[in-house]
Amino acid sequence: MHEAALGLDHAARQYDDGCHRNWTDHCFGRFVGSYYCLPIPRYSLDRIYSIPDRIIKWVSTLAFELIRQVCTGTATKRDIIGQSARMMMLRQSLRSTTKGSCRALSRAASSNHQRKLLFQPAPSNTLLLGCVSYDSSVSDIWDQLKSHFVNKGGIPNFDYVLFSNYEQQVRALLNSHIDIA
Amino acid sequence: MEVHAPIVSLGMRDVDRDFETICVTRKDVNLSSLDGTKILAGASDSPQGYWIPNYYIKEVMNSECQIFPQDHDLGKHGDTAIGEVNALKKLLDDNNGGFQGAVLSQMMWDRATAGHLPSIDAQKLQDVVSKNNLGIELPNFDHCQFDVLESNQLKVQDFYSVLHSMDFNDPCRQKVMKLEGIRRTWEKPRQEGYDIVRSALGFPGTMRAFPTTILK
Repeated sequence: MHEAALGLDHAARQYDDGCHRNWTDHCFGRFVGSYYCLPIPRYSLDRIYSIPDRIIKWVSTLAFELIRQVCTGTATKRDIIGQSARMMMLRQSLRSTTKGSCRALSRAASSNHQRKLLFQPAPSNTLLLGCVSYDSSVSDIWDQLKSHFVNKGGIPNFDYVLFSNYEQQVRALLNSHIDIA
Repeated sequence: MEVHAPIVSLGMRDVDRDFETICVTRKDVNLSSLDGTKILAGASDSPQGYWIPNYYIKEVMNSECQIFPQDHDLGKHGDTAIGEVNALKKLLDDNNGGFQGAVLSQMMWDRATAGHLPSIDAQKLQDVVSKNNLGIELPNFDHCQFDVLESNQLKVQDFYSVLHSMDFNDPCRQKVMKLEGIRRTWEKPRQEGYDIVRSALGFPGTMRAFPTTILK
């Protein structure tokens, strides 16, 4: 049975790009390219990312071959049992090999949400001046000018940032990322 | 892309007012005008090194010469002046491929002739190159100033006041003002010094300037 006969020609062109991001669809058992994607990867998206592409294709090929044999009436009972057993073994193998990495990914993902800043960012009411760093002395000059504005000028929230070029500085001014250019 | 943004200017260094650009030529070529000559220039995004001399010589003087920018540190708009230094170095080279002159800022010329540029032989420069022997007077312009968005004027009022109250006679302030290159004082903003810059930026092949207003 050819995938075009199943009306999946469009899906094949759309998804068979070697990228894992569309493999979430495979959890529901869809034809993608010449591979039938089993509902084996019922893991979360990050688990699917951790499974090598060649293994997924290998498993999918086994499943597709089994379905082809069933649909064309060439499969014997022994074939069906044998192929299914092989796929079940692979499924267990995949689960065990990706188990550790999946746990690590899950831990990393959850810890990202819980991470706390050890230093507070600058307050949002900072009066921020931008200047272009055309020479290494620019930061020395503006450190001293900052000291003047903060300590003598009574502008405690004054600070400055350096840009490597004028175009980025103008962009930052227009986007209100800095107050003075 | 043409961008219009209401910008307010806060002021500038005194040295940024009336910034001078000059044209220098080799002494060994007898020139009566720049027509047909090959002129070296600073970086192509430098107002003093390229924009203004290129516009003025070609558009205002109608001179049919070729001007070759020496691009270096693009994005810094000529602040490093390395393009101008490279132009001088090339002009000094006796086998420079037929370049007869160069345009650069008066400031860099003064540094070069004073021997403050390690890559330029000041003595050879004075022997080989002369300043303005064609009588070309390039227009002065204001170099740079502090800009803010008009909508942000209130937030920068304190900065404006403190900036313009810095006293050069105060030894503590004088040190940092000298570091910043100031001779005597921070100057108030003005727009007329940028007229020639806007004209140069409107010259074909260059970008357009942002419209600006003066802080009242």
